[in-house]
Amino acid sequence: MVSKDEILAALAGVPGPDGKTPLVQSGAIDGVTIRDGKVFLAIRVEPSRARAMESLRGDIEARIKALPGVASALVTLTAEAAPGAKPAPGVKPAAAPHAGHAHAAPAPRGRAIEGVKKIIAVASGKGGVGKSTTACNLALGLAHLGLKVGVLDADLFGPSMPRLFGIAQKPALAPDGKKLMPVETFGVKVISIGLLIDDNAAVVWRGPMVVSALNQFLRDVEWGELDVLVVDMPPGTGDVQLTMAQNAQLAGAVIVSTPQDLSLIDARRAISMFRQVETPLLGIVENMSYFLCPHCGGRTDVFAHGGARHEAEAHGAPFLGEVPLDIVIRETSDGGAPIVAGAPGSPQAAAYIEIARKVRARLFEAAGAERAAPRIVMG
Amino acid sequence: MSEDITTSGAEPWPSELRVQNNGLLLKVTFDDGVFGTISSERLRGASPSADKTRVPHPGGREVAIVAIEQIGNYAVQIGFDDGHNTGIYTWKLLRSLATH
Repeated sequence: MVSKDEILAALAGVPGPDGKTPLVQSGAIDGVTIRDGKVFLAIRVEPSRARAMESLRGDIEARIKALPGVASALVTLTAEAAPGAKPAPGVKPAAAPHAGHAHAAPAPRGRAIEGVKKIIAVASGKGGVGKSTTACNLALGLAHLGLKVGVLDADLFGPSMPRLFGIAQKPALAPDGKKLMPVETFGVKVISIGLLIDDNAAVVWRGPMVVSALNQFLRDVEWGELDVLVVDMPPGTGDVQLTMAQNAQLAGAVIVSTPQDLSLIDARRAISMFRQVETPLLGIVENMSYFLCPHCGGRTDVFAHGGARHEAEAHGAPFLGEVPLDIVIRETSDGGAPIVAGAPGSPQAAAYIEIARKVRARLFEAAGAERAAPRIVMG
Repeated sequence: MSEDITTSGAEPWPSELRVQNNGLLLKVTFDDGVFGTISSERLRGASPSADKTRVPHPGGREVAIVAIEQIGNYAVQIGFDDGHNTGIYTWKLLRSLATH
């Protein structure tokens, strides 16, 4: 039976992740496990060095396998933030690079996106409550407050962002020829499946395709430096929502609902889902809150009124504001000239900017909203 | 509607997951100071995966933990040396396993 000391002795002379300090002395070995002649070895490396370490990994496996009494050897590379680099809050760099090796750990998940400080989801549960309009104007509101903002349209089956932002151009390839450049408009970076397909084309996909497309939107888009990435979620609590919760580090969720019961019931489901995946609730927006008649000035509570506020209060969640059913919002949305960008001084825009202000406060000022991820130690 | 569905922050989170004893034990420490140790066998048996059928190791030896990867804000995916690696263990499940 091979021992840990024999394995370490066999690795003497192997350079460590920095290329100079021998591996055994570098402290990068995270753990050696020996089971019935099978050897498992974990090595911590900086993500940027992972590719270079890939060949070394094979070499190390070969050296261990060559030892008498070793049936098989599995060496995994574990990502680690660069020394001195400040790790993103709440993020545990994890897992090996997915270099296509048979032994490679599953693709890294739950990581932050480089350069993106906060990812928030705008969700509703029910469709048709104005979630995308809210997401669009919330993003513009955050940009209006001086933040660098991106919008990821995760509603692959009913992408609304191209129309809402009035984008007709296709996204360009990044200079590296691999990544996609988001389209920048009104000071906000936007990516949507709708920018890649024809207006009338349908995306007819099963779950795994959806998951893979979302991962590409997260990882293969050149987002650059962003303070907030706003994700417009499709209705429901399915593949898309789960993928975003698992593969992006969501800093919080904004729930949009009309005041009517039918919408609130589904909003509750959305809230419950985010709770299950430990995503903080940033607050609830009441959309189509009331209708002010432009002719007589009379007010009609078309979908009842105050339901979302009541719902927020009932669960101790912040109420972010109410947005009336307003023909100007509808026209500017359909016209691709969103109200917060086109008329930031209007009362309609003011409602969204106020919501953005509250979201920003919850994201950047509330202490302890995000909790640190656990340290994972093998060994 | 008695359940408070808004706050994430009330329940204890793990602050450290430490694999010990050649992968046979997982020590979980929570941010409220509570900690507990879960055997790899118990973890494997409690896998919430839909695909968790087991082929016992020859000789009936115990499975060992070989990988732990964080999933979003709420769970870890644990890999065992029998090849099973699809179980997603939420903080809540780990808490329950570590303290009962």
